[in-house]
Amino acid sequence: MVAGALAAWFVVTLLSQHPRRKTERLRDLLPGGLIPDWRFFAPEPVQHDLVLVHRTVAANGEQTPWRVTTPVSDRSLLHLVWFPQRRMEKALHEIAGELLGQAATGTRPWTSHHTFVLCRDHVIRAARREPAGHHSIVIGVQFGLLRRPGEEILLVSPFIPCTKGAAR
Amino acid sequence: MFRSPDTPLEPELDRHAALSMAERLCAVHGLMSSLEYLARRQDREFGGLNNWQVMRRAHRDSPLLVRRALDGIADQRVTATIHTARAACAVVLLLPVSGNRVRLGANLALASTTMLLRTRHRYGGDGADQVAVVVQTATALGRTGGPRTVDACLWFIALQSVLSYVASGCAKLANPAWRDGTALTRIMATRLYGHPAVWRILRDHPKVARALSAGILAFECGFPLVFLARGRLAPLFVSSAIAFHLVNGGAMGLGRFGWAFIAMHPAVLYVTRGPRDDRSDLLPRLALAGTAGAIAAAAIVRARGDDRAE
Repeated sequence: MVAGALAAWFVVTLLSQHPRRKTERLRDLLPGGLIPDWRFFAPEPVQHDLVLVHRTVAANGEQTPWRVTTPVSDRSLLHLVWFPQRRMEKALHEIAGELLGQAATGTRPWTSHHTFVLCRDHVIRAARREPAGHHSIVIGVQFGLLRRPGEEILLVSPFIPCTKGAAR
Repeated sequence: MFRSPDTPLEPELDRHAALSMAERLCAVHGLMSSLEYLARRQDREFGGLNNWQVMRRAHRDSPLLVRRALDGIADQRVTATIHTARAACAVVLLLPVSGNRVRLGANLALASTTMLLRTRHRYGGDGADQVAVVVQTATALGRTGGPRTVDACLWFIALQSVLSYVASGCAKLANPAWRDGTALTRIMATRLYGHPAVWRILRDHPKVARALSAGILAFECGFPLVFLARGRLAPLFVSSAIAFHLVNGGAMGLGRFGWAFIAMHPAVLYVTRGPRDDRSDLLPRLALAGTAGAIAAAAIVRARGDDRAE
């Protein structure tokens, strides 16, 4: 019985690995990610970074230049055993990809999609943690998604008010 | 003094040793994963990329019970408690605890919570988590029965391991950029998966990039050769795989990947030792019959579809 169930599980996994992703729906047969997708970095691997950038606007109207919100960590041998921030680096890439897809094809306004809200809140938190410059009060932020290499701007958000609690 | 021709050159891995090694190596991944989640509470708070207060919007259309269950799991204290329990289970599996029921419980807890937390940690999951579910579920099942059950579970893990390399290799083979090495160079140019020093070498020496890429494709597509010659090539492929994962861990930031994938290798070494009287090989036969049946059924359905179209 165990052999039969595991054999069936393996066969479904095998059939779901079409190189051109024509059998994706088979992976919905079992819940909880039980049917793995083994086609890592294939056929099309990640060949660019999707970088979240933001700028802030102060009460006196002064704007900061665009800056990277959460830079990707430099490689270290320690990462072989301890790399807690890694999941968020990957998460940001996934969320950015989903938001771009939503902006390109979504039926609902992309600014109401949960990936927009995740990026917006992430940027607001980063802006609040930045050391205060010569301008004092940050009243708003704007974020963008950049493709690297190439420095191509793919998406720019509208102005987001950033008074305490405004975006919550 | 003289070795009999039937005496193996290396000590053979018995089924229980293979099962224990698989669960221990996978426990390293489970421990790392849960400790890393516990260290990053901020990722689940306001501004974090797995903030459930925002992510729950994606489940507005789910049934009420599902939404309530997800809200419960996503509570900061509940999530932290689950990860603490997972870390404890992983430690139990790493220790020389021999009680079958204890190890079964620890495996089962790890497998079920990996699945349970999947939606809560929707963003940032990776292939290592997929391997973990496969290994933890199979090793838990392996603890529920006798030698035939253990063998079925080890066969399952081994076949998934072979498939993981072949599926990845074949899918890469379909892309010309993988065949000429440019895909590898472009990956190394990224901050997310690349490495500046490796990228500079590959950019300046395209022949090296092509050779490296060809080597990866040959290794991944050739992994089923572990079954040839009564498994004589298996140690070579497994050693190469360990080196492959170590390099990927260092250059691409995929450290947890390595621990998870290496957890499947003891099963590969166990099942590739040629046919043996004391090992049950029922699972691969069932899998072969099932695959043949599924392909035949798909061909019949397709042929009927073509007839209708005409």
